[in-house]
Amino acid sequence: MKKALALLLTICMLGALGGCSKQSDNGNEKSVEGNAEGNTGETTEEKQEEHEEVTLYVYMQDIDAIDAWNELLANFMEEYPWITCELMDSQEKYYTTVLATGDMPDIANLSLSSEARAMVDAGLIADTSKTEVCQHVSQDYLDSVTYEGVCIGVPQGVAFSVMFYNMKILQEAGWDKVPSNRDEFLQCCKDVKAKGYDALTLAGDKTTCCWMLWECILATEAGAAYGSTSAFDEAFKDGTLEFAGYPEATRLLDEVSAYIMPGTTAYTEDDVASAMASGNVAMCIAGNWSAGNICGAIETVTGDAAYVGASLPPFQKEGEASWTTVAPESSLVMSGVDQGEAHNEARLQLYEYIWEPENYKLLQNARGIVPVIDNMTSDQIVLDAAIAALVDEVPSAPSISMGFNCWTAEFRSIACTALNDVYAGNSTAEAAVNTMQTTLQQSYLNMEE
Amino acid sequence: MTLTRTNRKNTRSYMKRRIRHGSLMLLPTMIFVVAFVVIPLIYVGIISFCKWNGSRTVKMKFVGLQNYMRLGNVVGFRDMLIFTFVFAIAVTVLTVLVSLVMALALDIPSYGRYVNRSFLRACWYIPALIGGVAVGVVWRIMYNYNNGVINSILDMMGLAKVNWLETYGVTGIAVIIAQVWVQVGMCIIIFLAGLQSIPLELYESATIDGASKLQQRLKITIPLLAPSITINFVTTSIAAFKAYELPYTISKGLPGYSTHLVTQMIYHYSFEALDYGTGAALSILLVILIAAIQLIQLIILRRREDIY
Amino acid sequence: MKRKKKVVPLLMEGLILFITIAILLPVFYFVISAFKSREDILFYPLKMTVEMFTFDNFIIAFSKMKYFASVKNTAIITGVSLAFTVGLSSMAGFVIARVQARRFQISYSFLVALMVIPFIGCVIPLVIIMNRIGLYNHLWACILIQSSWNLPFATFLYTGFMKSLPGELEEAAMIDGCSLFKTYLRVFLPLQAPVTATCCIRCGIGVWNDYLVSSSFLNSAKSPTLMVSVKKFFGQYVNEYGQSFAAVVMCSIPIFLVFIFLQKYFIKGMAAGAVKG
Repeated sequence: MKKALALLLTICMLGALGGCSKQSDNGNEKSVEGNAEGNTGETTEEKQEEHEEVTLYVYMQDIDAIDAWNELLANFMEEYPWITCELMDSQEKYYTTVLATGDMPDIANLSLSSEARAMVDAGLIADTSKTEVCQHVSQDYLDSVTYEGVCIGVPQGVAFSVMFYNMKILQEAGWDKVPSNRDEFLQCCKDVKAKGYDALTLAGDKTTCCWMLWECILATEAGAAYGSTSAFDEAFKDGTLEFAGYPEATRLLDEVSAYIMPGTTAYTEDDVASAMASGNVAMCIAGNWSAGNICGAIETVTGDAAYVGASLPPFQKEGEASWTTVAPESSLVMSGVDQGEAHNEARLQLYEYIWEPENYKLLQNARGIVPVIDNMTSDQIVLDAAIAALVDEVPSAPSISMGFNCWTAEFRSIACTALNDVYAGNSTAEAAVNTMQTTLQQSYLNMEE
Repeated sequence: MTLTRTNRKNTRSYMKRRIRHGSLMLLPTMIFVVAFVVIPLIYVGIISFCKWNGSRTVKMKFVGLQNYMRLGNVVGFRDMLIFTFVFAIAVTVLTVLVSLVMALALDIPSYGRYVNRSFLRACWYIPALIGGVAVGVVWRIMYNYNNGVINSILDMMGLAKVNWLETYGVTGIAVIIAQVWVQVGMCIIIFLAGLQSIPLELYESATIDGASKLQQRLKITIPLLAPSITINFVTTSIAAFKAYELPYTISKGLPGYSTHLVTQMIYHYSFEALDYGTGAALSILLVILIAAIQLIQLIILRRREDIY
Repeated sequence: MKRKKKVVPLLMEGLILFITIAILLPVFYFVISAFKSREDILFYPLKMTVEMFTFDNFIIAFSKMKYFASVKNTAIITGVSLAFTVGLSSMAGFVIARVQARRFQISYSFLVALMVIPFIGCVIPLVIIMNRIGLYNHLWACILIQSSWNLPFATFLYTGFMKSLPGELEEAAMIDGCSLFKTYLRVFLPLQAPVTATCCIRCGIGVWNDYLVSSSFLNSAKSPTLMVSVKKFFGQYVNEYGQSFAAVVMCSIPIFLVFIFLQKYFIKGMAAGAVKG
């Protein structure tokens, strides 16, 4: 037994040493501590074909289209044989360790959150405003992702909120077309419930979706009062937005929450798709990014794609236009850390490569994103039928920005906890709205300290 | 001692040499522990007196006791403290109780089914073998109101479905059950080992004296198991206080803050809100909390142990 | 008389069986879901028919999670950190238990007190420290951290058991001219095989199934580890439950086998050594 243990120990030590020496070779290339001996070996007299071997790391937080990314990277590596691209696995709270160590992946995805701002301050994100792709994006979008003069990257797509319907259940309840205002919506919920189905569900586990129901209701009341998207956003960011100042919205939230399916607050977006696929619930409110899953689920359970219904959230008063909430999806950012000329150049080449329509379409097709770049042809873009019908409506519909562009992490956590309580029937909308208001004012006060 | 060589070895210089060698042998352990446990802890302590957002390029700003003062204002603080205590106590008591009963049941030799018992022992340890990431997900799926396994079984038995993850109070029970499930295996194994160390003669002499089986259990077994009970109480309670992944995956702290643990709050402030000062203050608070509880526990349990 | 005697044992057997089934229910659900397709997991949680049986999840999971690379890295981390833990803590336990000196008692209290520190709070300071040392993104970062954080508990175990061995062993060794270290190595350590087995299982499982340390200190493309690879099946929009369960089953099989193998040692031996605080 003792000999076996000693042998095992020796093997482990050797294995560790072997493993470690291999790691250190790769480590040198990636290390940020000015360890650039390998990379500055490139001289100007080198022939065109002679290239420095470079390894690039691509990190996509909560990656979904792994296959599409692998295909894209494989194509890239074929075209640029001296560059190796590695796709990293999603790790929880990865960007906090990036901030603490300064070890930034070459390509990553980030929204302009406080984390991203801290990273820009630390010099970890490169300014992409001079890249080729930015010529094909409207100035509005570029402005929304620019901080302190640094354009962090082009958003992967446009996101907006959608209400999805299982038309088969609606027809059974006596509705041939989707409800078009709040009264019809509430009546529809009542009818659906009378037939023994659940009316509404959403992804309570994800803060963006949890907030979405409330912000769509709020938009119909408060959005009009502020007149424009940017005015509303500014009020939110300044802390002057008064959630409790719109009693109609609070009342509507109470009424709608009564029809929410039990168990909703624990649902992830995937669970929502599963719930739709089980055929027990008629409607769900979600972002257009989950259209693929949800529409697929409805089609599976009803057997016919014609039973998939979608519209902008119908919470407006009768006779008014539908409001929606819009946001740019997370941007593809490029590392701003200097790792030597060859490395920096390779990084830029990869970034530009991804955004070429022929390559970007791989990602777009896999995820059904609504693209922001304007140099794609219509046959390159593949959208779900339900979303395709809405895409034209969105630019002209009145809208406010989705919450995640305006809130702080503290506000998000407190507000979504309060909202989940309302959805679960544990508290009234009024209590939640008051909590939100207090928190908003409090957190902005704290920020000023 | 009659051997002169031994006597000669009991001199002061020999003792000093022993202590020196002993110190050398203890040194690597202390180096490891100081480098990777104590120094980070000191670091955390320093951060708890500062305001910092986690970025390498941003200096920490010293703010004194402000982080600690503001802890009381943290939303959900009271609920979180209450649940942390309830969770730790409930998990510890339930785990030790269940594993004690099971160990006693599994140890009764009169069934003569020794082979079955090894198999059962392995079965009880399986929950501890599965990785934490998946365990939480499995339990969350099982607690699903509409399609979950548990509600399906309740339905089949004709009982009402329970909304496990959205009801105040019930969610806490759900999280506690899952944690007990994970920790029971190790406790049973320690109890079984402790049981096997009790000499059978004691039972035989008790039977001769006319004691019933139940009396034997109460008067002989449990008192002699006192050291095992101590170990189990200590390790289970420490693990319950430090638990983070499993409860978070199951309930995310909802509904409200009723299933929020201090570790989850630390995670939220450190990693999501980028407010390391508050996160560090909460960590230090947690350390003090656990240390205090362990001290109390050890005093009580050691006293019981000495009596027996 | 005889009938009465049979009822209670029967009840106990029934109770044991019932609770064992309750304990195994999630495991059962989890294992059979690994063999089912997505729809079947959703609609028929506990049912398993021959038609539903599929290996697809395993095949996909295997390729997606870079199984061999992950196992290799995880095994290296587990093996080396266990070697450190067992080696260092058994030495420490021996010294604390057998050599009488105030400094060792203080060290013991100090080490045991360190068990209460939560790891989650210390992650970022450790990341910074590792970065400064230059071990960030290195397997050794994980190895050192895992061994250090397991040392307090392991020392606690070893000290208890070393105390329970009789003093004559030591004296016999001294007569034979062994130094302190040799006494430890040749005499005490071999007798502690069951405690070593317990320590290996307890700490080994913790390291093998660990997610937090590997995800914070390693680059998942360069050095994948098992639990980090499993997390990849829980994407933001789609959770591939079947595949993730298949992945976890594949992760758990190695330790399950090791556990079965070591189980015999430590239960029988712990009885001989007696469990004393």
